[in-house]
Amino acid sequence: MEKHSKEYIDVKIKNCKELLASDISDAQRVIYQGYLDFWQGHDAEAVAEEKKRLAEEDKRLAEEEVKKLQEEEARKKAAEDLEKVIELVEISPEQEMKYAEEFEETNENKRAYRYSNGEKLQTNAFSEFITLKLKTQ
Amino acid sequence: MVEASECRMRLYEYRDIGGGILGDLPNHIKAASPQLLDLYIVGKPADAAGFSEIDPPTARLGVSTAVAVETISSSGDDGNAATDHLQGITAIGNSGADKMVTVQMLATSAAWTTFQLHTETWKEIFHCFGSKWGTGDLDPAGAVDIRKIDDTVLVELVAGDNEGNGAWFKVPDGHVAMLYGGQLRRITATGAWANDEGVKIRILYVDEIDKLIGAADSAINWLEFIVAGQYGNQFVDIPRGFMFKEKTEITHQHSSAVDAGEDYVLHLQYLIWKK
Repeated sequence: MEKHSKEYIDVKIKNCKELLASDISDAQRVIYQGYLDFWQGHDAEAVAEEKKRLAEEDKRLAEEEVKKLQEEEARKKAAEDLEKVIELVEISPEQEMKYAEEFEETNENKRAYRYSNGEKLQTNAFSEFITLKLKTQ
Repeated sequence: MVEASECRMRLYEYRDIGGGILGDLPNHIKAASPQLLDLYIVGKPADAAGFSEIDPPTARLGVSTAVAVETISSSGDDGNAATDHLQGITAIGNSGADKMVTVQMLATSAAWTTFQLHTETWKEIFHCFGSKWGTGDLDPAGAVDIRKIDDTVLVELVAGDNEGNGAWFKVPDGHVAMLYGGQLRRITATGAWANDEGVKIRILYVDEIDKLIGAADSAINWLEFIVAGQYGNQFVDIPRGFMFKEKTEITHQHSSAVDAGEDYVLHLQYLIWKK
């Protein structure tokens, strides 16, 4: 069977129905009914194909969604792994000093360290700066 | 093979027949209001070949119960808008009332790319031609065809050409047809006298009984006309008077069992009246 669009078949079916509704002989009714059956057969095939196409499209979209979620999961896990690695990385006092100088040069109003009960601690901003440095290395 | 040929077919109603035809007719034929089917065929054979049908239709309808037909164009520029190109196509054939008719089928929407259903019912369609145009152009923008509802194309116009295909006809039920003369003429591109093998034409006629014996054996009845192109007469007058029964199918054939490039013109007239 030759392939036709749904619109094409719809016009054919409409014309057949129009002919069947007109003033016709019994012999013509048989012929026009044959035409109608012929095009409705085409229509059934077109509908089945459309259903199949939609099912395949749904399947493809579901697979894409699963794949996207898996990729997102993988990306998150990689980021978490990186955080863990960074936490484990120990930088030398010389390297930390260099970072502190760079930090205070680029952030005029911020300090790399603060003191609490006489203890020298990294400020949160400096700590994030170091983490960023390690990530981008 | 089918050779290059084009037929202009027109059907004249009794009121439109004039000249010597009306004077020649016996009164009982005049009383039947005869129609005149006029075929003007130009053939341009390109290859040597045996007899083949001149300008055949795309398909024959061939139904005993008359059916409606659809028309469609391949171009959105054909349709009923004022600025469209082709707006109407005319068909010649046998109607559901067993009468040879000329019917114009008009586009009813601006885009003729959607099927247009027409009210006339047909038993046969022989030929079509473009017959109404908008301001866009005076010929079809796309391929326009007349087809059965099941999509069998019967006759068609190609884009840019107002004359469709089809050079056969069938005498309607209850009618008779008479070959009413014509001319077969050998033509050359320059108008110079031709000196070659000439042109052969056949008028094949197959009536109801002939058809019973099968297609292969049914093509046994024909009239043959030959123009021998030896610097002599370049034309043959087709005689009048050969009769064809109701339901007889008449096709025209040409043979190029001769050198290529032997162009011809075949003008034939058939008188048709109700018995």
